[in-house]
Amino acid sequence: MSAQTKKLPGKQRSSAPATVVLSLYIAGDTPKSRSALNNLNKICVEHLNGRYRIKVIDLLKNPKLARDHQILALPTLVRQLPQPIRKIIGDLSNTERVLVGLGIESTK
Amino acid sequence: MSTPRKKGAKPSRSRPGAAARPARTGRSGPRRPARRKPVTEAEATLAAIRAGQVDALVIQNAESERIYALKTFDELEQTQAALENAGVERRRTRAQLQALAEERERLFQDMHDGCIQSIYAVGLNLEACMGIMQANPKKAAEIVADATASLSLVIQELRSFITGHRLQIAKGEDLRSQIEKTVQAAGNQGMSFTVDIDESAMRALTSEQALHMLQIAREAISNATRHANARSGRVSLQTRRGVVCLEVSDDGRGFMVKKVNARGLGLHHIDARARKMGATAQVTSAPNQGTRIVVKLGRTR
Repeated sequence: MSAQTKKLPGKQRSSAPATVVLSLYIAGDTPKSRSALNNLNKICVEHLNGRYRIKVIDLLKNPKLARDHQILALPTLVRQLPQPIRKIIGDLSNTERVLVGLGIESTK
Repeated sequence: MSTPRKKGAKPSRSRPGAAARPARTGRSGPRRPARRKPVTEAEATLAAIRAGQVDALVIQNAESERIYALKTFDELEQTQAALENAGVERRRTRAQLQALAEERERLFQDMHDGCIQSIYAVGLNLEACMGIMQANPKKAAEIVADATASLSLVIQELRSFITGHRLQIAKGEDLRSQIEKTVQAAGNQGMSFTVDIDESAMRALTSEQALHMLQIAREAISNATRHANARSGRVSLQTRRGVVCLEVSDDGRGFMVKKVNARGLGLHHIDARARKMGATAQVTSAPNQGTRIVVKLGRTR
């Protein structure tokens, strides 16, 4: 018992899982952006158990928003929270890479 | 009672990213996915573009952001390819210019070592002829006939420059006969050369190398007659362990090799010709010690 309540060292500290805040930057309604959004939804449903928020940002409508996260290519997924910010470029079809990129441990 | 607790602390709120950062410590658990080599954003972008997963690129500058569809990006790449082609073209032109410059240098050499030497030899022969004209008119007539023949050869050589054909050893003749001719002309000047040419050494040379060797020998023989006041000399062409060795020596008055100014254009050309065929040329001389020029050419055909 006491071992469980003991403060874990450094990064392994277990706390209530934080909400993952994601921004998906796209360039209009294209097959790639649609596929990115579908893949992302699927991954979040499977692995994040409701602890996520997704915001889709269409840079064709407002290119200035690219500045917030220094976006280079579209689509790009940005994990804003938890810190640090992480980016995944592409249509998110490689689930394993997305999980690693987002820092999510896959649930078995 | 009201003592403030210093220990126990707050629940961990200080590091929001900590829980979500799985494998950053050195000790990753066995179940964690294999650690990937960190990639830069540029690398990740390139990989995604290559995988055909990217719709567009965002180009940002101080004032604005522009979204370029990848189609435009393809056009950029095409432009770059066109620029690279232009670069290739420019390099090719440069190489052609270089080849032209080398060709010109070769022409100068051939002029100097070939035509000028031949004309010089004719002049020497005619000079000798003057001395014997009365005493031995028959011999003098022979020398004049030889001179006429030599001059017509020179004309042929000059024509070959004009038509752009490379100087070569005349058909039906070989290096030995050419060297013997040169030596004979020197003989008319009262200088005796022995010629020792090894058949296998001649065979080992390509026609271009043979021509270079001939011109070097001509230059050396001409130096011996013109500058060295030599009485006798030796020309040899031998092979030793695959190395073809041309040696021209004389017993003339020699010179200080280290005095670079003493190395006239002729010695410079000998060096240049030797280098051109991948050979080395060595000039050994000292005042009153004669001169020895050795050209060594390794790994022949």
